[in-house]
Amino acid sequence: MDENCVAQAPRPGTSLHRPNTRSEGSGGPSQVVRPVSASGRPLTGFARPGTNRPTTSSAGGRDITTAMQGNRPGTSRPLTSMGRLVRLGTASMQNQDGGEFIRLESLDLQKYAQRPAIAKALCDYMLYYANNPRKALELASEATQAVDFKDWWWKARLGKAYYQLGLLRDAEKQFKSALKDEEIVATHLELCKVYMRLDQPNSAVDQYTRASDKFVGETHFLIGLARTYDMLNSLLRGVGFYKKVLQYDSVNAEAIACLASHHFYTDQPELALRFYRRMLQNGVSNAELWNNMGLCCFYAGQYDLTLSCFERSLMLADDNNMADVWYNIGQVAIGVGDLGLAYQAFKIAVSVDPNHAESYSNVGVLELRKGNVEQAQSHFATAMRLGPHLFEPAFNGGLLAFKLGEFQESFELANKALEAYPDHIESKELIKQLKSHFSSL
Amino acid sequence: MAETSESHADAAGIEEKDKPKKSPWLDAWTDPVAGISCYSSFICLSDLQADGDHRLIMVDLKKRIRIYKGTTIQWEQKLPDMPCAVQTFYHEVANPPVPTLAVASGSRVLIYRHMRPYMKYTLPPIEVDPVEIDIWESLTKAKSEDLNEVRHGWDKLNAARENGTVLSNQSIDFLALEEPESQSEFVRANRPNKDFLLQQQTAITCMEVLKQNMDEPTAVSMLVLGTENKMVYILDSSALNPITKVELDAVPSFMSVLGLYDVEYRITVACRDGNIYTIKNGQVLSNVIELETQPVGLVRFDKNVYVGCMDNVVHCFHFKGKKNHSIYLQNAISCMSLLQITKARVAKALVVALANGEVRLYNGKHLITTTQTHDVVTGIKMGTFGREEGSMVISFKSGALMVKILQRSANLEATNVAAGPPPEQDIPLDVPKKTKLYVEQTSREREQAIDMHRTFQRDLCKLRLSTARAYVNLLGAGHGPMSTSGGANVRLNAQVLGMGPQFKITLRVQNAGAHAVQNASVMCITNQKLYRLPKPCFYLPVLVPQQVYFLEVPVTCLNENGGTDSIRVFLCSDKSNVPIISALVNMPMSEPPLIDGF
Repeated sequence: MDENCVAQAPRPGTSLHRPNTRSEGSGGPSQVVRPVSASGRPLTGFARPGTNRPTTSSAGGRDITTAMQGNRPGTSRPLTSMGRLVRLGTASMQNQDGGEFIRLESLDLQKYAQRPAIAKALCDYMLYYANNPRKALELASEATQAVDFKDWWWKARLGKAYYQLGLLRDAEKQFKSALKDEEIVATHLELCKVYMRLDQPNSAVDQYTRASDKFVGETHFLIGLARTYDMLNSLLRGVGFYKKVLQYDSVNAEAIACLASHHFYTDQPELALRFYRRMLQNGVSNAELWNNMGLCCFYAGQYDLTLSCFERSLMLADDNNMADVWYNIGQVAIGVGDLGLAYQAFKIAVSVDPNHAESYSNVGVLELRKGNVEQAQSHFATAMRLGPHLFEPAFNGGLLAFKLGEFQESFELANKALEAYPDHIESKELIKQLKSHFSSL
Repeated sequence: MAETSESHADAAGIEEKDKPKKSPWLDAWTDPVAGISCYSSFICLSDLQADGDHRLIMVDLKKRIRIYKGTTIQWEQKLPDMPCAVQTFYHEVANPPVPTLAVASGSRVLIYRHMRPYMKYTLPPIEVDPVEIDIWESLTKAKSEDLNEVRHGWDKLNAARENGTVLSNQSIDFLALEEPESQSEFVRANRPNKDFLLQQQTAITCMEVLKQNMDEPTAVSMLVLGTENKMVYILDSSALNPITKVELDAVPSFMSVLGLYDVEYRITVACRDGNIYTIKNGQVLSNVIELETQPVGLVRFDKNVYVGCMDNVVHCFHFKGKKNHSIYLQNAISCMSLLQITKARVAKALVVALANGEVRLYNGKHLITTTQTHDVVTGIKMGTFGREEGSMVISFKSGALMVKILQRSANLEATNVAAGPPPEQDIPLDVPKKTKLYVEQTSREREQAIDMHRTFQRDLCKLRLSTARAYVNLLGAGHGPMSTSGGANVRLNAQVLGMGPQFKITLRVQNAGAHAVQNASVMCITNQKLYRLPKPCFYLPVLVPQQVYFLEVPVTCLNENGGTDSIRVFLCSDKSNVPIISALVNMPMSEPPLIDGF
């Protein structure tokens, strides 16, 4: 019976699983200005796998049922070991008549391990085509013994196989050993990936920094650093690295997009517009880009260009991003003061994507202005259910409950809002009012 | 009031290093697994065996009494009932002066001498209202089988309660019974007879000690009890008879005692109605301090009374009722106590424990120090522990126990914090600079204002038109999660659960309108070659407004390599040939079955 307490949670700023904690003030815009993704992190300018994955240990409401929601159900499911890789392997085998090209089970790996050239080809076949890291591990360990542990290539492959099998500490050891033999960019990157999977972003940052000192001008490391800082919620540090990336590679889409969104959310839409124009010149033309340009034009005061951008965006949009475009049209309509148009736009957004929590929240506010209290309440409730990472619907619902005299409910909702955004002043103010109400005689 | 910045100290309680001032507390002893969690009134420090080594006496809600000598448990026993306070007092002048231990629990005070149960004092019963006695007498006379008589008595008791008669517990229990059979059963079981009259006991809420005629540590003293029936009793020093009874307007919850019984004494009582009454020589004084919120702690400090309130404020009043000042705190107050040193030097300070685990020391309104305990404090007691005056015993919710000692050289003088603007005032706001680009753009805006406005208005009209078209399309076709067609206002949400090949679609149907929808049916249509729906149709006889209906549609994927498809869900009514609402459910990729033949 050891009742001594051990700290359960990682320290602020050292884990990817607690995006709302940070070791130092990031200096970036608050959650009111810059919205957050479902993982509780500020939106980045570039959609990449992993960043939007809901964190497993984050606050309540993010359970396995919400993992299946979203525009593309199933893609954001919780990680299973190798599920994706196994399927790719089986699917690629299917097309062949007469069974597999190489029967991995019947190979004598020891024999092949003595012949480096064929062994390397065979190992890559196992890893990349057959997706069988277990066999690749066997072959690589035989082969690395055969060359007296001198060849970095085998160590890197061993690390890769370990990584795919989820044996992260072994993978780390192999990659480090491989780097001792030969400094290779890909090995560095893979080692950083291992650290990210281990939830040790600071080690990853160290590794990236060391590697970028070695390979000056290698943008992969700079991008990796910037991404890691983004995930740790210190956006301003990330921005510096995106700028460095652009010095070396002036057409890097990820850097341009992230810098653009940074400028947009720090109240410089005219600069953001310039970055988006660069992307357009680079040949990117999709609904998201036109939508962003429309927003930039609107907030930078270029009103004549705004709506034509949205028009193009709607033309290019498909089911995955149409709701977002309509949502932004609704925002512009609110900015213009045309609430009828805004109402229609938000309604269309939720019809295109029934899981669009932000639109539900805004429809709720508009319904409230019309005086439909019950509808507003149910909209806020829906928005909260669909987007537990948003603080707006919880606060709106709490405020409405307060005005209706439902103090208990209001208190619960305000607390929920603070869970999503611990620094929200208005929610704190509401709780303060409620507390004085509760405690007064 | 300056906030001292805190660094994290570990569980062993290492002194905070980067504090501007050294903490005046020394860590004497910490037992994280003491397993006893006490409120402030459950802890008492006393020289139990007159050997100069002060013991720590603790009682808890698990009905235990425990005495620590130093860091070892000297004595532990079960209590017969749940305690509410523990105190020691001296019943006679003796040599050596061995104090008597008193544990208040329920309506009794259990007296221990020489660590042995000695006697108990029971509070006098409350007089039961004659109306109630009459009713019970008639109930007793009646035959308990006669349900009408019992019912009649029940009604009369109920009427008496409605008229404001304070009833005994027995009557309240009786009134809680609804069934005639159980009522007559109750009367039979609790029938008062000649020997056993209707009785009502009260309960002790707080207990303090008042010195009789000498102001010395071991002088003869007497117990002061606050009770649930709004009374304050003062017992004589043998704890056998109440010698003074005072009736208050509310139930006392905290008391503070000053003076000598034979000369002049003053009892400050904080009550549950949020008022603070003063009893002087057996009389309730007319000056009452009214608080805005409920009190959570009471400490008397010289001529001042410090009251902690539920709204995180400590108010300081002069004991005659004038308010001196208030201390506003960031967190809720969990307990308050007074630090008092008389031997080595004379010092007094107020100790306030907060809900976030901080223990603060105040001299008047000046904060002297803040100590972080990283646990939930439930009780604090100041006093002499062992031979060390100025000890602080802290009991935690986790059952941990911590003892801290005030440094003999500790400076408890108030230091004036330099007044002036807060340091935040000098930090400029981070307003981004207007870029050159922005200036250029504004000049374009200035020059071509008319053209820009025209283009914008034209585009806006076009957008309004296209939006309205899309919106009308939406209304007519019953697409989207909300529908208002046919006068009904229905919401439909679908969610896919499962990894495959077995899926489940959970449908949430909610009627958001004001009127009920009748005879609705739900239908699911899909690619028959890929998915099998064992039950594609559901019938909803009525949709009550605002009620959420859950439907579960099981889906089986027939071919996990066949890609994905979507499932359409329609909610139809019998009034229209257009569905009220429809939903398109995109199915995820199906995993291969884990077990063959599943």
